[in-house]
Amino acid sequence: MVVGGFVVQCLPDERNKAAQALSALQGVEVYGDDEQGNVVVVAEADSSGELGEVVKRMEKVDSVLNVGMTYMNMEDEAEQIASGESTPKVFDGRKRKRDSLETP
Amino acid sequence: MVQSRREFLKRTAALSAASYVGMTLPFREEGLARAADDTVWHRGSCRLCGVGCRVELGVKDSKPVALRGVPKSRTNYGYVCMKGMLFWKVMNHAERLTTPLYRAQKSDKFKAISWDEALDIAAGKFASAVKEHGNDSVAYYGSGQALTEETYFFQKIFRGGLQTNNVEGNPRLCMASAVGGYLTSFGADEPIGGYADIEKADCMFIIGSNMAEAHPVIFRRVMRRKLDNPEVTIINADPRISLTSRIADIHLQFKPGTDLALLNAMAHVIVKEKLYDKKFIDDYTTFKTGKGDLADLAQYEIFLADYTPEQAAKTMGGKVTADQIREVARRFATSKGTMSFWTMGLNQRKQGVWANNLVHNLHILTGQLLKEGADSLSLTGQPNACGGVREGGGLCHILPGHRLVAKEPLRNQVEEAWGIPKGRIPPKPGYHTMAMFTAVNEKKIKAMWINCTSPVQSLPNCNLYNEGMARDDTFIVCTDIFPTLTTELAANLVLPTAFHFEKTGVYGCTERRSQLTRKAIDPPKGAKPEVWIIREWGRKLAEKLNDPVITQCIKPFEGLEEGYELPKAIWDEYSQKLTKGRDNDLRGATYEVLEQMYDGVQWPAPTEEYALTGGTVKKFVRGMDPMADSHAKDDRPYQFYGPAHPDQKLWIWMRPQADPEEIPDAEYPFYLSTGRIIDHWHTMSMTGRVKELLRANPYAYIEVNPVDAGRMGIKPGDMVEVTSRRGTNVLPAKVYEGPIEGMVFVYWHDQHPDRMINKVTKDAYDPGSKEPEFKICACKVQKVSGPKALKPYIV
Repeated sequence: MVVGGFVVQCLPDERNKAAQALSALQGVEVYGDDEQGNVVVVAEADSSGELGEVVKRMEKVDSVLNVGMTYMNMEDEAEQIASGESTPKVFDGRKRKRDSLETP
Repeated sequence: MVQSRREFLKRTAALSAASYVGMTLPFREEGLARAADDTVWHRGSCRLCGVGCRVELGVKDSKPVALRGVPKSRTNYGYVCMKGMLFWKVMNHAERLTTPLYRAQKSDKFKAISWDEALDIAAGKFASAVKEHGNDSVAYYGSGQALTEETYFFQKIFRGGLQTNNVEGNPRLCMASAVGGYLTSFGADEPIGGYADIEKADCMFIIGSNMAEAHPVIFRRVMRRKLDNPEVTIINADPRISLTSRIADIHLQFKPGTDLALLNAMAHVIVKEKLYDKKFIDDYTTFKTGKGDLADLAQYEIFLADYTPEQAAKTMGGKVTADQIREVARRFATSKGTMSFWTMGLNQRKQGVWANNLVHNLHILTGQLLKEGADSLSLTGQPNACGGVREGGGLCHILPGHRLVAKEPLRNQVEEAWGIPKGRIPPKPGYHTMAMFTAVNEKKIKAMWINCTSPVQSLPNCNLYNEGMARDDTFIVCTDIFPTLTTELAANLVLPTAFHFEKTGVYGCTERRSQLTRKAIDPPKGAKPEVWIIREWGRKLAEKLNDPVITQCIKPFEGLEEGYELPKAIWDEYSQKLTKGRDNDLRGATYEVLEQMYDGVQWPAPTEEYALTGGTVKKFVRGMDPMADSHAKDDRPYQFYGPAHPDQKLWIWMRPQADPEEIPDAEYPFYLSTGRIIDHWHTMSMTGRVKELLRANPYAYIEVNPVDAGRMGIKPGDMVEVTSRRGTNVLPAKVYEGPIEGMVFVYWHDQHPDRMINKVTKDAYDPGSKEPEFKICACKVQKVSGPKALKPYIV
């Protein structure tokens, strides 16, 4: 599980609408808003990659101007990487072996 | 337990976000059940652009597990972009280099060798080059991402030890024109104000910068200013409509290379309508002809006569009207505070220094400087181009502390500080970047050290220079954390280094601000901090050349632990001895002070007591800048004590519109420009290895204006060939109302041989700054096929 904290910036008049739309997104919880159009949001996802997708979905919400990230916890993912359970993969299709390196 | 931990993390996340906007949530941190939270937070800077965002890396069981912004930091006020949030993934990446690799011939395969063997080879090759071919047969090519301690120490060994000024770095490719502009207009490098002006500015003029993507956290501040104060004017001038243009009240889209006409036309309006600040001009300004002769306002007005808004609008390609130019000039001149921002769009040009001068002219004319909300602010691309390379002596013509190599008394000051014989540092500046790689082509450089950068991909017209780098005539050492195109093509010896937060050191960002990042975790076994590498190499070098002066260069650093004590000793030497009395006086910014600061210190900061206040927010202003007081020549409130202007005044330059080196013709009818995208950093050796960043933008594309695309039958996703007189790329098309008609745009991060756009760009450079004209060349464009499935590519 990865958890991110965000200040989402909206046009002040549209913050209620934005907060509603944000709450409807999976993994997104709205904690509060103010009259400057700031909406405090927490998002969670299974991986930092998926959290990135959640951010992209938030950015697409009408009346959202900017998604400002302030905090990210990825301890479960770090644990998986450290234990060898998961590797921070590069994309598919990459040659796995460096041609320039002599194989022992 | 799992549930409570999850709840704890979510509430922590919410509280962190709420604290930035002063929002009160119905719970407090102290009230949270702390589910065994043994995360230790280490403060430092983000390393993925020049903004200087402060972050804290959360470490648990020696592993990075979390990142948060630092709310009290005056750079980012706690905000961080997604790219910055993900850089921790690079730390434990399986592809980190962890052992020195060597090959005698570049066609051989690399073999893993020990550190002792590696340093022995490196020292042997540099020593024999010096002995057989002279001191100028060796060179250092560094980076605006290296820590100041690293750049400083490298240049010390090269200049003081190896007696060559062949010390360069990639900031030559991005910032040199800004340096030239500041020196020639203000008499001193680096901006007068900084980010603090954003919240006071009433007009912001963004030219040649896509800050929404390249500096997203600063852009957020600009956007916030506009949202809170709708009367604030945002002007965006750029040949390409970008994400930055979204918030602009006025967007001026012009033909590439015609912005000098725009800037002169704005000055024309300001002078004609008498919108200038007469008293400011009388008190603080000197007019200069293009050749540097003294002039006056009347001559300047005559010079500007050719730049009527009507004439400029025509020169700029017809999309901008004369009335728009008048409107922009009036708003610029009459707002309570006007700030300009620019970056590569002005700098990476054959007329880069002139373009910088012309922006400064507008600020000087109107007195939109030195007061709250007014500044002429060049945004830096890399995290330490200013601190390490511009201030620390990382370019061929400058020594630490903004000293010119060419001036003997300044060389002597450095020699004295280092305790080496007078005359040891050669008087002649070394090769600038393009000359250095030309010298490689000409087989004049026999041994070269490339640190933390990948010129095989980042030099313009790279095919030409890659020929030389690939040959065995030049022995090349690369220090890096990952394989790059340069390690693969050009290196004989690859030395694995520690990454950010795995070592200690200072970065100096855009606004004269130096910030410390302390080591938080160990590097992967086998990787070493550069400062250790330099010291160990230096010792072997001294032995092989039997040169006690090289021993003297490393002597103050012998025996020190490399994670903290060694960089601290280097910083102490640099800041205490080399910046003393210079305009970038950093004596107050000791490690002890920097460790206490959320966000570092802005120079000049001559004492610790002053540095603890944060340093100098505005240079040259008496009462705000201690050097404006100590170097005052009269009673006036502003004192321009910079080293380059003997008259201690600001200079307004008469710089004409001039064409770029290459303009479209019948054979190559399009302009090509290049730039950046939010998810990637430079040559992608780091961000290309973070899956989620790569997935967002897996490969480069070519942006084609819909009108041009329609004319040429190019549809979205079609494969398009772009060819210049130097090289070819084949890329998928993005049909997009971004670039102006007649112009195409490609971002430059992609490593794939078909999509590496620097094969196509031009290597003409500014005669003053020597910065190449990446931003403009002529090309032809044609569709070669329909859409093709493409794979991302990283070496």
